[in-house]
Amino acid sequence: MASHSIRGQMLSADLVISASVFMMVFATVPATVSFSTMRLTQSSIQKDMSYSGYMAAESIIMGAGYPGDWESSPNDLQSIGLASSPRALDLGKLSALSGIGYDDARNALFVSPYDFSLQISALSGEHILSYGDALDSTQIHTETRYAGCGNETCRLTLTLYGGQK
Amino acid sequence: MRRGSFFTYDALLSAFIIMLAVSAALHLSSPRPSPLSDARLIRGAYDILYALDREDALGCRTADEGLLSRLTPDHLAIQITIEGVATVNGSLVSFCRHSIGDLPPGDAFSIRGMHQGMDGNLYGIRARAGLR
Repeated sequence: MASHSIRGQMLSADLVISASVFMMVFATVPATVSFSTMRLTQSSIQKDMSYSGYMAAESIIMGAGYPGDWESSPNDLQSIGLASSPRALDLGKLSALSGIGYDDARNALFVSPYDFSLQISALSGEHILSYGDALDSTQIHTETRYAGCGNETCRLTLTLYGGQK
Repeated sequence: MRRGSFFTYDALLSAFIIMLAVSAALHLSSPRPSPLSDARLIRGAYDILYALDREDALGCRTADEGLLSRLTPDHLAIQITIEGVATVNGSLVSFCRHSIGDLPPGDAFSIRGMHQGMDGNLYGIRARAGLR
């Protein structure tokens, strides 16, 4: 009898431990999968923003855009570039950018579906250009580059905004 | 004996599953270097050298640590060594070496170039750039 009783308790203890472990796994795995999926999605968006931001900043300071003289016919603008030669910003293109509508500029920078803002200022502190508004976003990516603008050296800050809060 | 065996296998299997799930989550969510981050690093370093060159802050006397610090974004680290050599008839008459910036241990890219200072001297520039 005694051995039967002990055997029964052993089975119960086993069952309780197994059930506890099972419940722990059952609770942990979905949470882990959910957390990983969320992190992967965020990471994927961040990488895409990083790539878009890098390419946009590169085309702004290294190229003239397309067509090369888009500042004289802004309606034909297909791609934004603000340089007359690599790392030398063209002041005429900078002032022409202010007259371009935000959606057209966003398409010509190829940063959709993200919003963007562009700030250009001289190292001396002089403000040169501000385009687009800063937004309250859950994901933000900033590219900082340097180029010449006339006799000054300029800091260009391009910020991309992901999901809005 | 049977109980001990059963408990051990059960615990081992459960622990294995939990470890698998946790390591998979850590692996998937950990940041990894990419060719894009390399390109951004090199472009960023060139930009900083370009700006320092334009501001004439790459000479032995004109090297500006404060300006380098202001220009360097948070994710980047750059250390620049400036060497100036002056020779007359093939004989060394003066030599200077100056370093600015700091670089934490780890992988770094090396960039070499020249800087024509406003003092008329030509300086050899070696820069090492890495991610913080």
